[in-house]
Amino acid sequence: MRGRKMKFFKRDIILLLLVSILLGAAFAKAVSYGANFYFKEKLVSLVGDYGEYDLIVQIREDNKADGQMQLEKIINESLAGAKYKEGPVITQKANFFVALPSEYKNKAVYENLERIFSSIPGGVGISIVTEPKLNIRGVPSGAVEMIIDQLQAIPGVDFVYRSGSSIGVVLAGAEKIATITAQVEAILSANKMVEVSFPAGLEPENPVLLAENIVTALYKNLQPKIAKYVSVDSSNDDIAHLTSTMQELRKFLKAYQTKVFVTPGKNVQLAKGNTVVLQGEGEKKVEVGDVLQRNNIAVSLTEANANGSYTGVITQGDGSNLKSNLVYLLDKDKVTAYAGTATWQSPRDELLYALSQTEKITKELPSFAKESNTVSKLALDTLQSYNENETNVQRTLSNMDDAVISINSATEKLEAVDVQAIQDRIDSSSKTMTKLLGTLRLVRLINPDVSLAMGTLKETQEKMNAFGELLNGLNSVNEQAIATKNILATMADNGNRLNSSLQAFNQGKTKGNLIDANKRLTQLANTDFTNVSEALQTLQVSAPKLNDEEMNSSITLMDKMINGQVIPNKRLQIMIDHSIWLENIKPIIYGAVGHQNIGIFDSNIGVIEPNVYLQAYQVLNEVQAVLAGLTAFVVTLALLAFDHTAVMSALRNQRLSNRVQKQQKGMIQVSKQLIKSIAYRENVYGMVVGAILLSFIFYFSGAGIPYVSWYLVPIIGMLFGLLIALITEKITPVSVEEIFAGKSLGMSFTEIMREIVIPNGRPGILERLNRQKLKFK
Amino acid sequence: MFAISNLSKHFGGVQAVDHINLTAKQGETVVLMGPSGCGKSTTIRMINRLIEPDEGSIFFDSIDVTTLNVTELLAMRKRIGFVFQHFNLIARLSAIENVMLGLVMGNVPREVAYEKAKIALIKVGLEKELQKKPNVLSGGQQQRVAIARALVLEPELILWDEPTASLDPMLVREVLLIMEELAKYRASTMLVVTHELSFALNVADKIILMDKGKIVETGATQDIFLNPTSNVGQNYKALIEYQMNASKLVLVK
Repeated sequence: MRGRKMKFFKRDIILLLLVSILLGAAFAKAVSYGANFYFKEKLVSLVGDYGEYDLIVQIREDNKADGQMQLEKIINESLAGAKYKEGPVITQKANFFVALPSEYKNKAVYENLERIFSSIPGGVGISIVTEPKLNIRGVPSGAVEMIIDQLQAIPGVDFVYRSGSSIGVVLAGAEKIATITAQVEAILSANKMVEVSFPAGLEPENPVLLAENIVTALYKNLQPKIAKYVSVDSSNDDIAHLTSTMQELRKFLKAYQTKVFVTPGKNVQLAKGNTVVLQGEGEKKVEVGDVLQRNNIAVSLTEANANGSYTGVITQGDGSNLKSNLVYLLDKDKVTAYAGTATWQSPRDELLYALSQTEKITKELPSFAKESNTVSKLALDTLQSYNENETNVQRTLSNMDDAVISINSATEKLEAVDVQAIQDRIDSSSKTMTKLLGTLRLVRLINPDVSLAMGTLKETQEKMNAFGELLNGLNSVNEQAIATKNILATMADNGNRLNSSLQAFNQGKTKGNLIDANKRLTQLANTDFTNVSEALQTLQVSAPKLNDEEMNSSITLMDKMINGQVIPNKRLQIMIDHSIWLENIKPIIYGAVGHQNIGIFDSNIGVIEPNVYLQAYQVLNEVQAVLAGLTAFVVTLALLAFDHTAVMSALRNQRLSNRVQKQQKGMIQVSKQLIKSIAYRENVYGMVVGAILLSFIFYFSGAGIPYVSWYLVPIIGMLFGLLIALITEKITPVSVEEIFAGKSLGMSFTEIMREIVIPNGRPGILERLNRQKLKFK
Repeated sequence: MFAISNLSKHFGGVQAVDHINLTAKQGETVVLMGPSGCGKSTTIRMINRLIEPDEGSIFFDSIDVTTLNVTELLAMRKRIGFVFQHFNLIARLSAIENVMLGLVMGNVPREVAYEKAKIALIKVGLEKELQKKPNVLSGGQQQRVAIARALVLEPELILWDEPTASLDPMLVREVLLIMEELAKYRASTMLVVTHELSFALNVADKIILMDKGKIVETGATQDIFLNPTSNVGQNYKALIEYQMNASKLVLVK
């Protein structure tokens, strides 16, 4: 029955809801849009419109006039065509917006803005606000240039510039910003940064060197496409590399300075850090009680050795001036006691000596090489005729055998002996032997084994010559025939031994060795010994002419410099392929560092920074959404209060007309009653209408409130509706008498609402809509 | 013919009306009397279902009102006039609009409704107050407007719920005179809840006395007030005697 009573009025309510939602959403939208418009205008007045300006030049307020003049001058002289507008003064800084002509929108200009505007008095800073632009931050110095090159290659990118540790990517147009952003992200994610962090006290002495070692190890073990030390920029960070160089120089100087080894005397206690003095060129001999003379040598003990001695470095004077090995303890400037004896080692002197000796040798090398080369060639020529000579020797020996046979025959038939023929043969053989001896002399240079053969050959030759002379005297002397035969027999025997020796000589191997030696000698002879000599002389001349005192001071100074310097040695940043797992990288880095007391992490090589402008607009949009949401709350409450309380009050009245409210006692009863009361028709109506109103107004007005999820909106609407329903009689009381009168006249619920309740209610949309249907206006 | 059978109503734990029965013939004036809170107003409001009964039947023109649907009930209500204690005029409407309201809602043309309303108001002596709003009318005038509003629909049954209870004693008479006239000259059946003894004595065809939700005595006027059987009746008899004595005393002086 109730449903039928409401039938016609439901249409009114639905119409009311539709109108309420439309008007409420429009109102909420209008309020939020108005606020958004206001704030946007304010923002534009503060930072200019999106893309309108390229730079914001900040000048201290007290220098504003001068700064502005200089800004105009710079624009006229260096940035012709640029326009500027004075902006607001914020925190005592005047802001000037500068719009650059397109010809100045390039990498060169953007990377030199600080220099271009450096002459502005009171200049505080320059912000680049060119749009559309992407900002990338967190790129390590050493990777910036590489990333810039890759970014520049993206289609749609106008230019890329470096701004401190950030990279600005200026786009040709805003329409491709999403695509380009995706491409930039792809570039940044192609590689990753591995950070190696060192605990205090374990920082590497030379982080650059260590990083290079790590990179080498990574390439060797993991074969990455890229592995690069990126903590410092190898092309730009001069200071870092100067520091690295100084570290190496310091290492060199430490190795170069004289080391003094002090052996403490009997009952003498020395300690690391003590300063001792040794006799230098001081006129007076060092004695206890003296004040340290400038010409004597002061040594600071830097290290305690295991054998009880101490190693020290010279802090005054030079090691070359040490005159005595007696050591005295020094307290401040006063010689206090005998301390022991000392030895010293001067790597500097050793180096200079080695250089001078090397230079001398070098000077001798050209002639040596040349001579050796000549000898080698000669030996080769000689070996060429070796075979021939050996054949000759064999033939001679054969002749000698024949001669022995002949002499033997001569002793038997002396008369038949042809002395002349024998003599001719002996002469011929002697000559051959002379040639062979000459050859063997040369061969002996290469192979000393032929000495024995030479001696035998010479002896044979001498005996053969003697035999020839004998033949001349004993031309038909029979007595000497036997002697001759013996000599010849000896000669033949010697000849056979010679032949064996000659055959044992490996001429092929010797020839090969000679050819190799000849090649090397040729190479040696081709060396530019003049240059080598000059370089050695230069080295001698350019070797630091520092005395030990100066070196020590330099090392101390470098220590101070390096300690305060900028190479980040607490962490090293290595860029490497993103695909390589950190777990695979860790052992390699541990190995290169030498211990595992380090932290190793990986991270992106850079991140796209939210665009300030877009973010500001986003914030504004969020503010707009929040305002719309808050307005939706207010509008919903207002609509419920002004338009729906009449209905709720009527429903409440209808419910109560048949009931008497019982007073509840006790908490449980009150609670039960409270829960039960939620189901009262006016409360249900309020909750349903509140949920519908708020949800739809929220949706259509584009509202959004942080932490208020979409599903909470209708719940809040229901709570609003319930709240209003609970106090509906206080907002819009209805006259029970009038309602009864209407009922008694046979008026339907709809008619009662239209003619009695709503006209008596609060003015609102419902009241407005109802006017159209009112029979008694 | 109008009849109530076994009609009951309770509010929470209170039995407001407890199984009552009554009948009224066509054109009869039945006066319902009893102490305050005895269930008179609840009973009369249940007849046109301004209050829904819990139990029982209400027969009007042989139709059980309790079984009617909304549409039928609304139609039935147009046949039953109702005059409230507090007049129940629509505050935003003028006197004539209040009277026209039922007609217009019943789809009577506005002009016709106006004329009928005007006649009704003239009948109750308010021809000069047609356009006045209720807040500028006296209580008696307001109640006369309310009577005109009930009468203009030409009801077959008129229910009066203590029509003079909210009136200044000086204004009671003008309302009672109208009621008496209606009772005497109209064919409508009237069921009147009132404390006005004089009206009951002069007009009522039947008196019904109620107490604690029950009908304690029913009968003709003389029977009830001369020979009451219930406490309520005896109280009324005593009251009548007291008032008569007081009147005599005044008249003698």
